[in-house]
Amino acid sequence: MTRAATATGEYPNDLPRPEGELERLEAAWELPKGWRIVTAVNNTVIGYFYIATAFGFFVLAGILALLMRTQLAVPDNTFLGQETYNQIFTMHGTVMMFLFAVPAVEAMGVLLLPQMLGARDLPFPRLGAFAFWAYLIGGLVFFCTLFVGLAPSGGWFMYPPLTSERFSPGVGADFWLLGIGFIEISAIAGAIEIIVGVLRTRAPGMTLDRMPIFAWTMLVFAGMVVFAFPAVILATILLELERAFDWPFFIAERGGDPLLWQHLFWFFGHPEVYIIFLPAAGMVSMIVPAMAQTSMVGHRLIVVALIATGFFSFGLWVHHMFTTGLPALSLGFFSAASMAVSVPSGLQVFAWIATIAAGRLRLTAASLFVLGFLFIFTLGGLTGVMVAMVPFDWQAHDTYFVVAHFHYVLVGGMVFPLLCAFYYWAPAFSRRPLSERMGKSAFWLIFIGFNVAFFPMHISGLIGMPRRVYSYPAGLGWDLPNLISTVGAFIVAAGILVVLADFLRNLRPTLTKSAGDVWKGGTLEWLENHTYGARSVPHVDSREPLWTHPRMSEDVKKGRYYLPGTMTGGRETIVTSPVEAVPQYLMRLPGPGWPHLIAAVFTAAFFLLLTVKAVALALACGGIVIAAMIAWMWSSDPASAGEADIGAGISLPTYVAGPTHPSWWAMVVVLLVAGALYLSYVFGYLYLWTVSPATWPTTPISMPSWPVTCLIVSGVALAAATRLLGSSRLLFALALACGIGALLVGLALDAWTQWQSGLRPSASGYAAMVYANAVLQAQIAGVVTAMGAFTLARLVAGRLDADRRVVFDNLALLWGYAIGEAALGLLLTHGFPRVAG
Amino acid sequence: MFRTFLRLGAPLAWALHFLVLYGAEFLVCSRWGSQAYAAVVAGATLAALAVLVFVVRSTAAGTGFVDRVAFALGLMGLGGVLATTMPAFMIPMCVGTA
Ligand code: HEM
Ligand SMILES: [Cu+2]
Repeated sequence: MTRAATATGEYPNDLPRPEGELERLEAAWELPKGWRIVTAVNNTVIGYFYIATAFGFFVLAGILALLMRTQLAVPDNTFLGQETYNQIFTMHGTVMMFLFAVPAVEAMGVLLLPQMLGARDLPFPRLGAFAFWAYLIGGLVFFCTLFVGLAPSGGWFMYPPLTSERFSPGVGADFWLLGIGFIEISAIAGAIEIIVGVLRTRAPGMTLDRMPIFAWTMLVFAGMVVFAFPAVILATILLELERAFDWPFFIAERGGDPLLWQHLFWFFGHPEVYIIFLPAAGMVSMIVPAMAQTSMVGHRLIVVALIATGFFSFGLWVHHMFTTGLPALSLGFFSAASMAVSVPSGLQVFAWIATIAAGRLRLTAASLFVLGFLFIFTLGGLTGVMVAMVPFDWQAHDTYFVVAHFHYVLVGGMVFPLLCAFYYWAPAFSRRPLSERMGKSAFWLIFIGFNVAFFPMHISGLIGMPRRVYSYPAGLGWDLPNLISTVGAFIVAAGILVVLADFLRNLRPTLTKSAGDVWKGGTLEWLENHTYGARSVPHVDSREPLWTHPRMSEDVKKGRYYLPGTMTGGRETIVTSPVEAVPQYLMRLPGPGWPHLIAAVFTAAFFLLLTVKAVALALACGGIVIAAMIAWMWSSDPASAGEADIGAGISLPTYVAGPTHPSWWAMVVVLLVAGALYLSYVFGYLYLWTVSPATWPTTPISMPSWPVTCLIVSGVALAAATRLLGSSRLLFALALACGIGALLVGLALDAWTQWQSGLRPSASGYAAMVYANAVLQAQIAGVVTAMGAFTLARLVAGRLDADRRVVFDNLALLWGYAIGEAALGLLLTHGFPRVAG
Repeated sequence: MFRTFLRLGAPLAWALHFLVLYGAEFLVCSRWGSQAYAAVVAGATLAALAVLVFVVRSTAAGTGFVDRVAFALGLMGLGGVLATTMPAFMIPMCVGTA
């Protein structure tokens, strides 16, 4: 398809480039001026905001850690009261995990991926910006609950019954459930963006085999977010329903079970650890080769290890529940899996060591952080294998040994690589690199301080100190290790201060004149970058294109490669095929705007107002959100602007529909999220049945013939609408309206029949589950209805026809899914009691 | 469709096998006893091994990146399935189920 660029000395585009081409490109990507920068959507600006915010939350949660360590420095201390301490450790854990770790790695992806893949931007810039703003606002408000004493205090994993209405009456737990639930949605939005970005916006020629490992880790990361987060979102929905309306999902005396929460939470919570660690490992896999100036040893093996880790990590969740009295063999399965997962992680460690050995490691600040990471993370892995052994865990569970273990894994596996990444990539995005001298002193402070703080916790844990205690009596042998830990924590803090000082002195974020390739890296993020990425999009024929083609940087900058300007006058990026990266489509991208920002602000307001039960205000905000989203989506899906020549005789369409279009892929990922959420629900339903089958009905209610009929009608209408879009607008509209109407009627009829039979959601765990099904179905059906109305509006406005049909294609996917989920729901709630009864 | 399945077949086989072994202990033990459960374990393990051997054999000769990765994942999947089944030989079944 392409003339082999560079190899024969031929380039996709000739020089000199036409006059004004560069200026037009710059104009298309111009940033909003002054404070209007908040309306920007391009990945660099959002990436900077995102990283800064995540790091800010790290500092905030770190301050909370210092408060805790101050309290624990000496026995019988009265610096913090008990309830305050509870709120602080809960907030420390929650903020570190949900507001720092996950967003920080996602932010690195947003900032780095487009440059690394040779894209001009991610495929859905406004979605990314929306996710960021929602997270910033939601996170800040959530954090501020601490200042008014309304913060949650049930620990970062929020186990009921402690967090039930009965034992945690205030709004603290609700803030956690709605606030964190909402931030998870923002994380999922980011994951969708990343999956589609990695699979569809790579530079021509960048096959999967040539894709940088960081991109692989972000792909696995995002895939794991898609399957893991829905479980905890479901759990938060159920617990919130229980707290607000007394639906007893987790109340044992009424046929619920608190252990259901633990299953759902840890089905998310364990993969979460890898969700945090894998991208960090991906950064290390980029930095080690650059620092050692040699290719990564075992590139393919690492890819395999990443995918395997991604899967295996879903088979570990019960190792957090070894002490809950599960059957012996079950514990055995999870114990074995927990040890098995260390094999692929170990593979990566050996690959890094081999690469370091194969090249000559320059001892820069970044390299030091890599070495520190290897040391600390490996120790954390070792204690991990220890607690994976069931009898050992029975001893160490809920002691400071576990606190030591997971901080070795989290700080070693994520904070060190992140700091390393800052020192490594700063020159690509800042006018000045960070100071090597300050970086090295920061490293030693953090490294030594960390070990001083956390090593003694192994000991205090083994001699019996439980976690989550606000104080302890003297004379138990805990005094000295605690004092040492506190000193260590403050040494870490000093190191972080040095990093912050370095940022202040040297970090000068820029979108045009970065310090550049100071480490002689081999991958595309070291091209000269602007708001629009590189001037032209290179043809990639190796894993380290800049090493293979030493002149590539120059040639890219001159505009010799693909897409050296703007073809349609606006922002655009090349969309390629997922495996071989063959150019397929020139996608136009949106510029700055307000609607997504307004939507984010009011979505946050909606959830927070619900928390404090200001329902009317919340609904008003919800209305604004919908209006803003319509304004946002209205300008999407522009009509074709003809073919565009990107160079080398390749002419790309500017409009495609169906599976070639990135939004089709995004929709499929959304369906996977929805499916994972629903399967979590099915698991919950079956789980409650295994613990209290007595609450299941013995005489099932009547067959749901009418709901089934409605679903069939809806399916037929969907098929008809798909055909009619090309031929008759009126009939198409009719099919659409009737079909979605039938779906709604079917669901409503089913819920009504259950209600008519006398079943009330607060009666039992079973009843609550039946109505939870109705809630979940209503959610999807609501979205289908909104999208249906939007589709009709587009039809009327002449923005939808047989060719320009992406909006309908997306609706059709979701609609079809909704019918399937509704059918599964009927099968479960009507079929299962018949089989089991 | 089939090729996609082949590429991700190994991890999927491992995941399903794991789920069946773990889930069945709750569902089967209490109603039909430990012999039935042992049969489920044996059946699921044989099925998973069959899928994995198929994936490994059909990708062993491939030279492309995707095939190599699928092949290696097949080997890892074999290790994973064996690791999961091992406890079933070492720990008595259906002890501690309601
Ligand atoms: C290096 C600075 C840090 C220090 C000094 C520190 C200190 C502490 C302390 C004292 C506790 C509470 C122990 C208790 O009372 O049970 C704790 C809990 C925790 N930390 Fe950290 N931590 C640090 C960094 C981190 C990081 C980077 C993360 C995650 C990425 C993290 C995640 C957690 C979690 C999840 C908990 C458990 C909270 C709970 O029990 O609900 N910490 N930490
Ligand atoms: Cu775990």
